[in-house]
Amino acid sequence: MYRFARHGEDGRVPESVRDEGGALGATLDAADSALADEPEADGPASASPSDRGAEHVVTGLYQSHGLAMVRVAMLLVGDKTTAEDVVQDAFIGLYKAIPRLNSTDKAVAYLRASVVNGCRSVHRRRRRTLDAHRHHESNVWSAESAAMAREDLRLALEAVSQLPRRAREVLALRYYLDMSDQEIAAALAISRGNVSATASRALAALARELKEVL
Amino acid sequence: MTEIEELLRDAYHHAADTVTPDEIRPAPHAPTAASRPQRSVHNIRLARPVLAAVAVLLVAAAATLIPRFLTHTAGPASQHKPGLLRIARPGPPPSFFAVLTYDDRSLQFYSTSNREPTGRVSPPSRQVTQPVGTRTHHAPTARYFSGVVAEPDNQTFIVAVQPFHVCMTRLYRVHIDSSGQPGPLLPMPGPAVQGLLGGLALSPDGSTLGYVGGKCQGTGKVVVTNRANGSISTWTGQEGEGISDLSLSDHGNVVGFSTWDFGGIGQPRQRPVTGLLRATGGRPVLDSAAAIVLHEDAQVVLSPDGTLLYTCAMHGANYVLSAYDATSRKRLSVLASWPTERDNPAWPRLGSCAMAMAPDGAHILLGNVRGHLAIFNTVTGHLTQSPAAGFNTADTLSW
Repeated sequence: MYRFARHGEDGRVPESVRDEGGALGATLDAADSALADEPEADGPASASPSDRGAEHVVTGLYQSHGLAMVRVAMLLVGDKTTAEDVVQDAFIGLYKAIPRLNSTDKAVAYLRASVVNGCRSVHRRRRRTLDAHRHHESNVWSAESAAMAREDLRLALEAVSQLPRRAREVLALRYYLDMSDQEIAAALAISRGNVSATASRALAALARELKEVL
Repeated sequence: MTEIEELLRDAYHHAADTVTPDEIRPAPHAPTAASRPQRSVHNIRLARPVLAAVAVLLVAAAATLIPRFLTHTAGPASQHKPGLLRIARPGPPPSFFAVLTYDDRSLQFYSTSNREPTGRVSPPSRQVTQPVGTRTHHAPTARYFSGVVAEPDNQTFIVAVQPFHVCMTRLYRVHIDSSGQPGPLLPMPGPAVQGLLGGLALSPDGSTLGYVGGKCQGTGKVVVTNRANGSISTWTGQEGEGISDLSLSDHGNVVGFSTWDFGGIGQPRQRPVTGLLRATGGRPVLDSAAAIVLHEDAQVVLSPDGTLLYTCAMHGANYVLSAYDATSRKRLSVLASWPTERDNPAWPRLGSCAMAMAPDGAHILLGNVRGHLAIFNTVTGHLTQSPAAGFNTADTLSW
């Protein structure tokens, strides 16, 4: 398992603590080789080797998980621009959190929780009167959007958008990211039973709402 | 997997596929001063009005709270407390306090922490030589304590001793040890003072001693003595007006007092006034503008800096502790109130409550004739009451 805390002075990843296999291992290898090939003078003047190492790690995580994070954020907030804002904020926060995260699993879990929290913040801002009159990009499931070709799928997502906030989060993490209930519980800081109950209630509500579609 | 789950999964992936890998922004750089993260205009536009709203709230809160602490703005009863900035030397209350009981005129010492008595001192008895023989007779009631004040060290107390029916008063000093046990009475040097020392007072810094001198009946005279150089300054009140409840600020710059009539105990007051004297050229001058008319029998104490005058008076069935601005004469607030003991038929003049200001200015000791004690914290505005501490009546308190 790769551990951020065991960076060498030159910012390289020690062989003994590498992640074995998996996409993240390849990502870290790419970051490591990029560091090795990169001349010292090419880096920012104020960046230390450890800073450059952190940047390569974050870049690698973005390459492997960035798209999925943007997509799940888009499912939660409805539009791509806002979703990218949320994900950018989450990865910026990762720079600060790297020193206290000692494994890639924790880093990915941190990103998921950060994206979910960022989406909550977006919804809070939208509820404010201050933000109500501002133009937003149309939600992907709205009738005005042409992104969804199939009407039944658009109706399904529109019904999901009417669910409570926690139900929307649980469904998106479970049926898009294929996360287990345990992982969802950790990301949302709730119990595993709460995840199951929330998902059951949400599916029942959706079944009632979409009985004509099904 | 149920049908709704399949539909949901398809919908999620179909919607997610609308975001392609080549159209998302690149990974953000490390947040440095030279490299800011790429942000859309939405959050930046939101930040400005939020920051403006926070700034307006902070200004409004400051405009409300700061004047209350600095200027003691008057307001509804029990709503406002004295400002923190008026307390020059906050600290714990003194460890011991002294009580002159109204019934037997003895001097009793108590511990502030547990209200338990620590010692008792009787008035010095006058030795009377019998006509026959050489045996002397001690008359314990021949003299009584008419006032007590505490030195700032809370270990030395000055008491005024007066014979019955004689307007000659002597000052004594008594020390207490670390456990509050009093030693013997030691006469202080100096001649006996003519007058009724009903208003013995010591400034919180211990530099100035004040008392009410003059005739036992009729006009009262405020005497302020500088203990460092022995200088004495006096102020004489109006004819027929008695002065009591003397209180001094630090260095004796401000003298607070209340007046009383000789119309008789329990008779309605004709000119109820609480006044202030200010030292002008070393001589106390009545600050007529600072006279506070109180229509009740009130006792007064000054804050150490002389800016606040605390009064304890009876309103209906309650004692009421109030604070006045010594300059503007405005009542700043009613600080506390508690029930009186009006149902006691033995004492017709029950409206007065004894008061003593601690040298730190943060604690006021209050007592009534049933021995109920209370400590008011002028910083927190909290009144701590305690049951009777073993004495029947409290006429004078000091700590």
